[in-house]
Order: sequence, then structure tokens, then C-alpha cells
Amino acid sequence: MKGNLYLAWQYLCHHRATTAVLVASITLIMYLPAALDVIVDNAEEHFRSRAASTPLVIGSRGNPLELVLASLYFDEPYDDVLRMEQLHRVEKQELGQAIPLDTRFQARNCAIVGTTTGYAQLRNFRVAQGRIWNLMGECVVGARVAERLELRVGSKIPVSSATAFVLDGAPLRLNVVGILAATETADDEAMFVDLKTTWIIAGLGHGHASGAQHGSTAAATFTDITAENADSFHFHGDDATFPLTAIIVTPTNQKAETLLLGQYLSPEETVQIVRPSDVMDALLKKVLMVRSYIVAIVAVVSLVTLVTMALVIVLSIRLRRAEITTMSKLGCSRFAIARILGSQIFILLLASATLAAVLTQITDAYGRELIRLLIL
Amino acid sequence: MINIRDLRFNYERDGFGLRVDALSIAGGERVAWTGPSGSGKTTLLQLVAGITAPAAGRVESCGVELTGLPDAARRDFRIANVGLVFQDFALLDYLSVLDNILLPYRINGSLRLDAAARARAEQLATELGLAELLLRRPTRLSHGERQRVAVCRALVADPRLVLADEPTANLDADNGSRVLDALDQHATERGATLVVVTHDEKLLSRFDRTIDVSSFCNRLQASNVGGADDEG
Repeated sequence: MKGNLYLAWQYLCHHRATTAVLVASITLIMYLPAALDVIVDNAEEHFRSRAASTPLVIGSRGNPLELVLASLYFDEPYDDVLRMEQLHRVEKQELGQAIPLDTRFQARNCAIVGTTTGYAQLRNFRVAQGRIWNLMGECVVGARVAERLELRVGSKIPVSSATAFVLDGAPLRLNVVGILAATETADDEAMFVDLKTTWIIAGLGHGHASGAQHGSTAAATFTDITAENADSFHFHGDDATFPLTAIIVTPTNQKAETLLLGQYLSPEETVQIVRPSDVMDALLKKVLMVRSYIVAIVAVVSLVTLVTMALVIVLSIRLRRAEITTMSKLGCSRFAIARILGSQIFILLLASATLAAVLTQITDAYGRELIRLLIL
Repeated sequence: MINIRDLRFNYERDGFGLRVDALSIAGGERVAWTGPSGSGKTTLLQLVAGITAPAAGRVESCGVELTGLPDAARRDFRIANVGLVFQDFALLDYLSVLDNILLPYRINGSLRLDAAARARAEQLATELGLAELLLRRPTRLSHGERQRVAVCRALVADPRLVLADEPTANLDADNGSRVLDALDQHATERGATLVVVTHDEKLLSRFDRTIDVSSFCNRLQASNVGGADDEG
């Protein structure tokens, strides 16, 4: 090692505590803005990609952001419903593929998403174990749900909804038939069932022994839906009035999209149609504005910290006057002394930059996980 | 080896001055400089070492005329010719004993730190009873041990001129004798010139000659010839 680097290294090693504090401070100054950038970029990418793959969403009138968050991220149980007739309305026009969603219910703190297999195709579901649902009562769970709740194919999940099985209060048990491969999206955190299953959970349909009269003891509803008893399940009422929380629409072309968007503009309309990417753009614009404020604050704090550190370094040089004088008397040039001191600063900066780069890489590698923990 | 003619130097702040009309020290000579505190021993040592530049007169050391030489040239002269022992040891706390001894090699690009230099450092340390302490920090050494490290550092690059500023001050008789033995041995083996500043009259018999520096001391008035302390 060159003399100046060696002496600088020895000095820093000898003053470990001071060195550690300086490296930690500089690392933080470098890491914080970088980490903020990485996290925001990850969040932006996460939100935009999910929104971009969901062309249009129809839901009851209200806050578009809430509708998008509930339909794309299953953020909260969503209680604003629209009727099945809205689905029929879109399907009848043949302007695109319409996928119904019912996200009102939860089981063991996970969203239950009632939908059709069209949703599985839209999201390119890959099943890690088992298969996609075929029957009412069957359920496919996201990778993280399976991991957290220790679910396997064949596991049973009682539905805890208070409205479930209003006829006799017996909880429906969902039968896990498949576990999805991890996608690092909100799908990992949800359970997917047939739309009719959510209606059964809502008490709009049930199954019981054939011939039994409703209200009789013989009419005790089945808690498990099997191939044998599936035919006994039936629904009461007009299916056009059955509830949905949202409809995802993939228009066939630009014209179809324009036509669909235009249909819901009337103030008399009880439903709205939104383009999720527009809604997320508006949200991200605010997030980016907040980021720029934070970056400005970090910049000011960094500047103050750098000035303080410069002061610490200047003071330490003054404290080392005797040492510098000795070196000078022994024949060390001013330039060589400056190089020794410069080497110390170089080592500090190098160590801090390396540490900050490693931390930023880790943050980037676990960025999606962080987004999931912090936001989803 | 050392020739001084018509040297004038003074610190303007306190009116202290040195006036040396003529002083010669031959190569290989061992000389003790004595005199009361404040008589200019350390200042004269620094003038001879080229650390301080005189205001007037000639200072020639090891055949090099120092007067009028720029800082860089005087530094090169010191690196090539002079070994310095400071009264306060001036060791670096963050370096081990071995690294302190090798310090001249670490801070001067013109000295090559090779196996021979390391061997010389270890040999000197062994001769001065520091072989077991090579990896220790100066803060964990006794006074005597520290001064011996300082002597090793002064001798490691085989200087032709060794200037020691009260190297035995604050040392007990044993340690003082050990330090002087090492300096003596170096002067004998390498034919180096040895100038030692000392207050200890008992040690004077070990030197070829004693010079009372107080005879050069001159409390000048501010209007007298000025001097420059260029390197602190």
C-alpha cells in the first residue's frame, strides 16, 4: 500500500469510533436520497404496471381512486356495489371482454375475490400447485396467502363474513384447489373464487338436501360444496340484481374504449368508468411532488451535515498540528501531508459510497417487498 | 561536515537572537551542545538541519550549502542526510512501534521501503531492546521505550548526520545510557557525525567536544537582523 494511503488507513483504524460515525453520516447522506429514489421508482413501476394491465374499470359512482385501489389491489373490503345488469350491459354491446369482481369479503384477513376465469387469463395466472377453480366453493390462493396461512391444496378455509350463510349461520368452507406462483402483485395476497361463491357467502344462494323445505331442519345448508352436492346449490332472486363491486373491461380496440368511456359520462349514470392508468398517474403525480419535497429536505440536511463534517475534519487537522510538524521536520512535503489527509477523506468517502451502494442495491432488490410491506 | 559562518538569526517576537561567527564540526565527530534553557540549542540544531532558514550568513551541512535553498531542497537534504531525535519523541500514536520507526520511508517518496529497510528497522529495534514491542502502540510504552523508538527512527535511514535534541531528558540513567550507546554505535559504525543537545554534565565525557551554545546567544533588539522560521 502506498505510504499516504497506509498512514491514512492506520489513522482511521486507530480512531475507529470517529471513523464509524463519519462513515455512517456520509453513508446516510448518500443512501437516503438514493433509497428514496429506488423505493419511489419501484412503487411507481409497481402501480403503473398493474394499472397499465387493467384497461378500464367500471364501478359505482364515488372516489375513482378507491375504486381502483379496491379493484386492482384489493386494498379494503369494498362495499359500494353495482348490479349484474351492468355486466350484461357491457357484454351485450360486445365492445370488449368484461370480467366481474366482487371484493366485499375476507377470510382470515385476506381478500376474497369473486370473479371468473377470465380474470386468471387477464393476469396470466400461473398455478404453482393444483389447478384453477372449476366449481363454486373452490378457491385458488395467492402465493403469500398460502405461505402465511400455511395452506396446501386440499386445505379448508372457513369464511368469517358475518353475512355468510344467513339462513343457519353455518360458515361455508372454501376448498383450496390451487396455489398461485408468486407474482409480487396484489394477487399474491388474495384468494380467488368463482363469482357465485361470493354470492353464496353473501347469502344469496345456498345448497341443501333435495326436497327439503326452506326453514325446515332438513334444509340445513351444506358447509362444503362438492361435486356431489353442487347441483343442489341455487340462488334466490333475479341474477341481474346480484351484486358486483367492479367490472374490469378490456376493450376490443380504441374505438370500443372511446365508446365505453362515453357511455358513463351522463350525470344520471349511477356507475362510473375509469382508466386505472389515469387514476394512478394522478396519484403518482402527488407522490412525486412529495418526493421532491423530501429530496429538498434531505439535500438541506446533507449540506448541513457535510459542513459539520468539514468542520470536524478541519478541527482534527488542527489537533494534529504537532504530528504534521513532526512529519514536516522529518522531510515530508506539504503536498505529501495534504495527500495523507486527502487519502483519509478519500477512504471515508469510498467506504461510505460502497456502503451506500450496497444498501441501495439491497433496497432495490427488496424494493417490491418493501412496497408490499409499506403500501399494500 | 558542519560549517557555519557569520550566522544571524532572531525571533522578532521576543528579541531572541543567535550570532555564530564561525563554527565547524568535522565528519564523524561527536559533539555535545550545552547551555541553559532558551540559549538557542534547539534553534541552532534546526538551522543545521535545514528546518529553519537563517536570515544571514552561511550554514553548510554534509557538504550542502543550506543558506538560500528553497524549502523543498532543504527537505530533500534532510531526507538524504539527517536523522533527528526530538526532545518530545514526536511519535505518532496511531502507528505501531515498527511503523513509527519506518515513518521516514512512509512519508518520503524518495526513500524506498523494501525488505532491507524493514530488516534495518528490526535490527535497530532489537539492539535497543524493542524487539518484543514492534507491534505495540506508543501510548503503551514507557518514556524510555518511546525515546528508544525515536532514536531508531532517526537512525533507520542511515543518516550521515544525527541531530539529537536532549535525547536523554526525562530518562533514568540506564535508559539514557542505552540511548547514547545506540547513537554512539551508529556514529562509529557508519562514520556519522553526532550532535547531541544535553544538559547532563555527566554525559559530556562521552563526546569528543562540548560546545556551549549560550556563547552564541544574543538578546537582540527588534531593529537588529531578522530571521525566518519557515517550517514551523
